[in-house]
Amino acid sequence: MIMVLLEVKNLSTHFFLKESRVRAVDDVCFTIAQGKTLGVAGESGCGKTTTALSIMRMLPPAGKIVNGEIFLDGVDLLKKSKEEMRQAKWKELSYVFQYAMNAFNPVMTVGEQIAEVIIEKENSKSKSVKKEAWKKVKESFEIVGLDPDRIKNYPHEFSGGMKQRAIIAMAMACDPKLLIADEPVTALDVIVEKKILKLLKEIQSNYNLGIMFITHDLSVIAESCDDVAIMYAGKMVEVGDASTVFHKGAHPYTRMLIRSFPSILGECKRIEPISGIPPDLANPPPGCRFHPRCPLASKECREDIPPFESFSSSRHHVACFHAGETIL
Amino acid sequence: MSLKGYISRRAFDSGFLLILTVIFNFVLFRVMPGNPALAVLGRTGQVRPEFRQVLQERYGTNLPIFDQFIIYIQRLLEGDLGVSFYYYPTEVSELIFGHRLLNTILLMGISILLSFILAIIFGTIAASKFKSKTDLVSIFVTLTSYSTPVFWLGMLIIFYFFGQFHLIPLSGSPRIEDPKYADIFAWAIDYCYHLIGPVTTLTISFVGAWFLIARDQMLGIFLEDYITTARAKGLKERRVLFTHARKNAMLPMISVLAMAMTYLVSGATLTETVFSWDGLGLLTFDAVTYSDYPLLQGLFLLVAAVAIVSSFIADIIYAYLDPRIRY
Repeated sequence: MIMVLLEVKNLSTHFFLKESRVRAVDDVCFTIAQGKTLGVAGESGCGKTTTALSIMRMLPPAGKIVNGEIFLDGVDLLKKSKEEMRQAKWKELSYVFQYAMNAFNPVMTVGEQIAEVIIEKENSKSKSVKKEAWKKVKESFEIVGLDPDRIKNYPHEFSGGMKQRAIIAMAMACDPKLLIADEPVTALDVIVEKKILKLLKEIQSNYNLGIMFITHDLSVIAESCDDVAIMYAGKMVEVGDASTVFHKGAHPYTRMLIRSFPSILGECKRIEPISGIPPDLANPPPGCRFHPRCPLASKECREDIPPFESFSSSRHHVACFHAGETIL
Repeated sequence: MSLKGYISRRAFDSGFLLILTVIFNFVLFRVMPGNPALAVLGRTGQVRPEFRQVLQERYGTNLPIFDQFIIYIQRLLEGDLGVSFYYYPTEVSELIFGHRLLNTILLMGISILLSFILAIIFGTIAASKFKSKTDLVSIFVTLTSYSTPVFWLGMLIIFYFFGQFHLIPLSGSPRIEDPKYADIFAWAIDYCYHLIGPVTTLTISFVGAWFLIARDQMLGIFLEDYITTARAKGLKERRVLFTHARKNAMLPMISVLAMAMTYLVSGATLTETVFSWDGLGLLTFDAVTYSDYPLLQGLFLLVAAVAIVSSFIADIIYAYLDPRIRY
């Protein structure tokens, strides 16, 4: 029995600029099961981070959630007041930011920054709470494989990989149910990347943690995710379990994206880039947003928005009129 | 690198710099043209050779330069800065470390503190309302005040607030010795009354630049990733601002304050002249006008020493606030 942890329904987040309205996330649906990892992939600017920030309700001032529901454990996050949301943050869901290198305040010790969030969530400043918090900081350092004697160190005394471990320790400090990891390994070299991915897996299985893993690197998703969601120009184009999406991807964009990555083990062939550029989201093309770059585009693709429907199985959804058709 | 090592190294550097300054300050006044005779008797006056001889001997300028330097250092260590040319026979140290130093420290201290607080308050408000009308208007106002020549501003204030509205006195700095004051309170009230004009002038001219620095600093900090992280952690906004942002935002303001410390003793020559405020700025102006080298030498040394000491203190505060600083 799969328990749904996070359910995003028809989420639309738009940026209201002076003269235009950028539809950064448009009618996006997906779910994350308890203890599972959903990998969200897509080109830069396709709305991955905006989706994540919408869940955290931390959009920049111009961004507004115009439609949708976000259920975390059955509770709609969008209906929470600001104060309720502030209390839910880190306790229910935590966030590992893209910029691991600067996520810690340079003038506070790493341990202090982890302890402060534990203390704040306990809502008490008593000595025993503080003591307990520091004990927990030590434990969390041990869990992520850092020397617990270094909790009093400053961020600049850590290497990149150590900082990333410390950030994961911080993210786990209040035992959240959901972890949103936005490009957590992008700034790291492949060896450290591998270690961090392994660490995330371990923590996930120990704590039954749901992870939303955002990346533009399909190989990272293939290695570490149970489910995959492919985004294009603010739309979800395909969602399914990893092996289905990678081997039997039905949306032309998914398949072209996979083809544009070199394979180490497969035959040696020229990689095929996807020609064209992503559309301007202030003024997206009518119909399917991928049609100007799609080799299968037909008249109805140019006129109607393809529905996001289940395709090969109930857990495999695709938004395409020509799902599964062969690309020449 | 340890904090102790850093502080002792900075202390050594500062001491070395102070010695260099003393040497330079000595050499500067020996290579400049002029001598006591010219200063005392005026540029045009004919000087009888024997009279010149007497003056040279009195000030020791007939001795070899190295001997002069030794004497200068010896006297300096005793706290003796020599005798003024113009105010003869008053000693330089008496001229500087008297009511004038107090006048200047009060005038500059109040102006600096007031501008600093105003700059931080308005800078933070403007930054939190980035690009709003409040922000744009305050930028316009402060840029204008920053670009206004301070002497002209002082004259405007005298013209309107003394001449037209009769709100402030014309000029001068009341002295406590003045028999017209019945007690210390009467003096203090009149003193504050006289302070209004010059303090307003200086505050308007200081606040412009500092406001822009404070605003930029806050804006930069608001965009920092660790602030986003702190907010994502669901910390209270107060904690985000006062624990995470403030420490970082204070750093450059420490430099600003350290640099302003030299004004504390150098005074604002232009403002003090316009308002006839009897402080070190006016004294410097007079010393230059009358080629009063010993006095000028003493003033320069004081300003340099304060600059060195305040930047040393700023460095220590920096290291305390930011653990990355251990050069």
